[in-house]
Amino acid sequence: MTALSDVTVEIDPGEFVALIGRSGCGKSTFLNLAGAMDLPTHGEVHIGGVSTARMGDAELTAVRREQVGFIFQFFQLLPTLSAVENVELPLQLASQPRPRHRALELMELVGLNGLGDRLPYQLSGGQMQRVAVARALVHSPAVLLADEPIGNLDTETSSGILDLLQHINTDLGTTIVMATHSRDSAARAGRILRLSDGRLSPESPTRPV
Amino acid sequence: MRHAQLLYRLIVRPLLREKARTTLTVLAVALGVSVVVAIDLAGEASTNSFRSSIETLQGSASYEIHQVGGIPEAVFGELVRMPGPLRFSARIEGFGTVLGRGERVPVFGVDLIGDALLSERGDLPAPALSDIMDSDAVWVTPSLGVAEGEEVQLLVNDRTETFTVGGVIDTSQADGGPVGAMVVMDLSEAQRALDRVGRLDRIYVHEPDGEERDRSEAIRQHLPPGAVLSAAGVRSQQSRAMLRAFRWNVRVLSYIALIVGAFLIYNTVSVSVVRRRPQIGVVRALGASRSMVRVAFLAEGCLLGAAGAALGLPLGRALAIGAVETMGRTVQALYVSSAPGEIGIRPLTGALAACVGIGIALAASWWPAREAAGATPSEAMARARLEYDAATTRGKWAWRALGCAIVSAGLCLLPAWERIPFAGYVGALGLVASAAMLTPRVSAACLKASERLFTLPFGVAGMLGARSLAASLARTSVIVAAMSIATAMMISVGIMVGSFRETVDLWIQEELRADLYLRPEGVEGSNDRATLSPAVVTKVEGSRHVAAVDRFRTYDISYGGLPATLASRDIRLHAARSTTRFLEGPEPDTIWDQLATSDSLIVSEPFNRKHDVHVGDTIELRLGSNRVGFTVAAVNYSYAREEGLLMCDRSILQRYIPDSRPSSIAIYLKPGADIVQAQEEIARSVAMHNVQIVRNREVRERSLVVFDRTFAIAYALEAVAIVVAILGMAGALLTLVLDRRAELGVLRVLGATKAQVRSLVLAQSGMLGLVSNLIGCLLGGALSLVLIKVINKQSFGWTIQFHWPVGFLLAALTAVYGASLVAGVYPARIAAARDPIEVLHEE
Amino acid sequence: MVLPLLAAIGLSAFEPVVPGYEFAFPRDHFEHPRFEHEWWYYTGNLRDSSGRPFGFELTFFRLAVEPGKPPETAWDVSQVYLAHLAVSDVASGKFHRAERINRRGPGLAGASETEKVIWNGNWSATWEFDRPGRPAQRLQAAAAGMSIDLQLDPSRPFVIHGEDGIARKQADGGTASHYVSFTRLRATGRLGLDGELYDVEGSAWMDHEFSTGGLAEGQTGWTWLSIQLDDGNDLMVYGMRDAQGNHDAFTFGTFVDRDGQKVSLAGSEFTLSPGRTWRSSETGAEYPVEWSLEIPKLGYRLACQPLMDRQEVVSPRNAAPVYWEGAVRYRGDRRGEPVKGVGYLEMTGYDKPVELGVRDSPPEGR
Repeated sequence: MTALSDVTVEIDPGEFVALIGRSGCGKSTFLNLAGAMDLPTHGEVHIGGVSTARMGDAELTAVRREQVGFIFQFFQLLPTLSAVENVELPLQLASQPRPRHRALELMELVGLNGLGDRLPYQLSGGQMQRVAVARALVHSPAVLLADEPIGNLDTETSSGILDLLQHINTDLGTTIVMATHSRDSAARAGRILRLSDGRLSPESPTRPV
Repeated sequence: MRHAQLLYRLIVRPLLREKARTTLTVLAVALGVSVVVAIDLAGEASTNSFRSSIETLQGSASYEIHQVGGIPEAVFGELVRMPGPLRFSARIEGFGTVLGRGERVPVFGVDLIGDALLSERGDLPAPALSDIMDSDAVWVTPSLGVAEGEEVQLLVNDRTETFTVGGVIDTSQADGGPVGAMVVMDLSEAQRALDRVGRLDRIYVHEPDGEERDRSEAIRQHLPPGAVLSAAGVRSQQSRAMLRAFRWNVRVLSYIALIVGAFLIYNTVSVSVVRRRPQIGVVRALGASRSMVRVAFLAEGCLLGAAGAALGLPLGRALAIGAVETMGRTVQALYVSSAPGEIGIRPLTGALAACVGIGIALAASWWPAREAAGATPSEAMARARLEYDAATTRGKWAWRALGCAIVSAGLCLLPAWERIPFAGYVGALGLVASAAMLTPRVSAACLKASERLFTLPFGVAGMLGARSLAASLARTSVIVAAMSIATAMMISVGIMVGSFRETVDLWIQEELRADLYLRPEGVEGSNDRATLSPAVVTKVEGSRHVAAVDRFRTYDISYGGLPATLASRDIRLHAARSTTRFLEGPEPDTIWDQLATSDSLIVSEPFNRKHDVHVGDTIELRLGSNRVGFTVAAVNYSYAREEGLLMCDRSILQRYIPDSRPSSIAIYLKPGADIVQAQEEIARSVAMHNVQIVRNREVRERSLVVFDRTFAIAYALEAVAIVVAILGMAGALLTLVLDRRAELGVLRVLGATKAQVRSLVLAQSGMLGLVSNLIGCLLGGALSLVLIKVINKQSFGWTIQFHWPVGFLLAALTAVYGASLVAGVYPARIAAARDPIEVLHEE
Repeated sequence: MVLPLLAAIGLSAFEPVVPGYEFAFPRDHFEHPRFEHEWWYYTGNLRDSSGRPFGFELTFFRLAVEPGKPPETAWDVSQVYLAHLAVSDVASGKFHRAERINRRGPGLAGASETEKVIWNGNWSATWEFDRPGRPAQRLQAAAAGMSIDLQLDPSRPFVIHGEDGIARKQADGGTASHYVSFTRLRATGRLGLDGELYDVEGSAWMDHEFSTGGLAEGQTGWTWLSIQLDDGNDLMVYGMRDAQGNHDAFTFGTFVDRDGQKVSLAGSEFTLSPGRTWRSSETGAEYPVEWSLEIPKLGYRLACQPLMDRQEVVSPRNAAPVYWEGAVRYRGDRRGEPVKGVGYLEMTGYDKPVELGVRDSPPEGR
């Protein structure tokens, strides 16, 4: 099955790009490839100028560890870890020093002060996604890849998460690529790319009236 | 450190959260480990203890001198006068029963006045001269529980003698481990009490420290040709060599529980991988490398193994107490008299437990860990909850299984190495592996077939049960494999032992035809060489009921570096009255004639196999002071001695060892004599001797009791393997229940009763039990052939006639099936107990 | 010399020592099982080729056990044989000693006239009767760290001590012995010590004594000296001692001149007085290791000095009393003419009175 073909896109540092398209159009695949989570069957994905196909597991792991932060639609928090343990996990995997300190900073950034010791099932959906955002940012990645970050949230909570992403993009300068099926949320991005039939096309931001 | 924390959070915490499943797995591993530990400890205690008392008195000797029938004591007088630094110690060795305690203990005669060894040691008696001259003084080990000055009655040969305890031997200072129970007395007293006047059983030679010269030639010049000069301790070494095959067999049996345990670890870790696949994906997305994931799951296996080992060590220590008794009896019945020694936990035992537990865990979690690490993060997340690769159902595995089976069969044809049938073991293991490879296919077929079958009695629950088992086939088949292996081993050992028992029983009936048997009281163990007074024989022969008396005498000999037993009897008498079946040799009449008239003998099948000795060969035996060439007249089937039995005519042997005391006698009554009356009369006539007279039937019954005792350990080990498998099955069903809880919730929402849910789970365990029984039966049949034709023959050298122990097999299969149902009880309760609404909410 | 190990456990069982015993040789060089105790005592002073001095003692004891029931096995104990081997290494001051105990058993120990050997295990004295009255004797013995192999050739015939065939030690005659000595034997051979072999020669003394019965009331021990003088004469003096250290009336001696002519000395004919003492750290016994001897009748005044102080023999199994047996040298004069000599000194009963009877207490530490 071909999810993507002939997709060429360049994203500048500091951009907030929204990726829109219908369900199953290949948005997740695009993000997985961009985040070195998967390898293309044909073609190449370059990260930092190197083709992922030429990278071994160590290099791919390094990309994930250092350059990319990932936010999933279903939060994907580890159920046996508390919120703050989830957040510090990437740092621990990368053997970074003092992970707890940094994780608490991030918890504060996403507005979850004092909830660090809760286990995922003790949190609301919005809170879980905030934890996921904190986890994606904890290692200060250059790029944040968000796969339907608000797909599972109500409108109000979604708005909060989008605010947070915008804030991160502007204040931290983190490049964000967000896949979404909602035009409203895509409108928060600086650039919108539409993915249809495996092809990308730019779309001018239109704001809802 | 940070990784340790990660490991704790990602691996340990989930394990702790699923207490029931983790507990079951750890328990299974612990049982496996404990069995290995127990057998190791028990083996050590029961087979090595025989050396302790003998070796205690052997001290630092470099050589020992031995002669079948005893060394003439004048030889000792000559040796001690050899110029130079050599010192000599004379020994009388025998057994006695301490009356009141009923324990058969070694009795040693040592020269308490002049022994070169005694004056050098602190732990053996060096009594005052006056005590030695009290001819009834004996020295005892503390375990006999008699104090200095007390009287002790000792049953030696066919009489009871009273001794006074001259002192208790201080065993606390003995180097080289605990000293077994023993009675020590002065040589003069021992010669008299054990009927060895004029002879010594053994002479030890001590060399001064640092002496490099080989003095064996100089010593030999003073010895008769029949005497054997060998390195000290050679006897124990030979006995140990003898025991090695036995210990290996028991050890291998103990590994079965472990192999079954390995399947369970494999299953547990596999399930872990499958259930946490999404998490693996996430962790990989967050920056975990492949090797980290692999290490994590290996660590999980390791943890289970380590926990199992930690638990298994004390458990094994506890089991060893029971095992040592059973094994001790076996050793006693088959090899040497020994009182089981202390069960000690050495650092090595801990290491063994750890190695076995963790090693098997690592091996078992290797594949699941590899699989977990193999997928890319997105794959891992996408395939959440899918079954792991059930490639084993594919056709190529059938071919692999076939190939493996053929290679295994080939291995079974290879000869033994050092009398240990390693190739046979590997072959058996290969057959097990082939069966494991085929299990998924067979299970799939069986489940498919049984779906319809089970729908009838269990209704829709049966159908659903079969479906869900089939859906999780990879997991199911691991459990079925484990269970099948346990069953197969039980069946194969059952068939082997059953066949053996039948064979032995037939042999006893053919071989033992006398009406009554008489031997010294208290005799135990096969190297217990108590003898009867000639007076007893005379009295028995004088009875009006007696037609003939066959005098049987045995000696321990050494041939080809291994111990063997040399027996003599009145050959013509025996030939006329009983049936002997020959493996090799001319007409029976020719054989008997040859035996009665020349230096010829019959060798038993185990001897023939161990030493590759055949009809017409001449073997040189050292008898008394002579070396005599004996011609092998025939090879017979004999199940009396594992080490091998050589049989010659009494009159021939008497030429070389003129000792007329028999070890036991067989009494043939006159036709029409009343056996009860005859037994009573004979008993009365020999009342002043401590002898036991038993009837033919009793001998047979007792032999079979000994036989059953001998194999008790094998059954016990099989039972443990089954328990391990049951634990595994309970664990697997529990997982299934937990994984399908949504399904079960839906069922409940749709109107299923608790009882229906329960019967669904029970139906599943029943199906697993049936499939395991089926595979186990087939595999067990094949393995029993390997055991009978290869492993038994190579390690013991006995021909066993194949025989189906139908009763045992039915009982075993029913037990396994029943046990598999029991395994379903707890998971079934868990499944039924869950509130359907809660279950649905959770998803 | 005199070392009663077993006392009279019923004297009747053994042959008493009575005057008029008729000696017959070589029979009487070997054992007399009907007498209660018997010993063959070899002592001597040796030097290696470089002049390094050694002393040696090789003693064979035989102790009869009162005959009980008739023996059923060769191992029944009717005789106990004890042997001591000691070497005094004067140069290093080391005293080496070893003990052997055996029953007769199937030839473990004995003193056989037919075999002409006195032995205990592989310690032996082998006799050869090639020179009438002067049988050569070969001593062979080895123990941890020491060995001797010596050829002994009598320089003069043996003497029988005392009168009428007995040497009296007790007023009532209960203790007396038949006592034969080779007072001077030329010794040549080899001596091994701690792995070194020395070619040695020197002069040795041999005592053979057999008797029945023990010490009398009040006697605690004895002193014995053998003296080989450079004027060619030999002396043996002997004294029973009481608790105060005085020698009683049964003190006597034998003088043997270079031709083997014997003169018996009564206790009143010489004085034996103790000098410097040495205390054994092992047993606590205090021995007078120096003595002075005056024999007015023969004109001898002699001072006895040990070659080394530590020459105490202790039986590891407490089978024999503790005694001091050591190489000594003599200086003095005979009627103004200076003489010197070598010999052996034996002292018993200094740790405690010599106990009579079989030791009933097992050795300490067992």
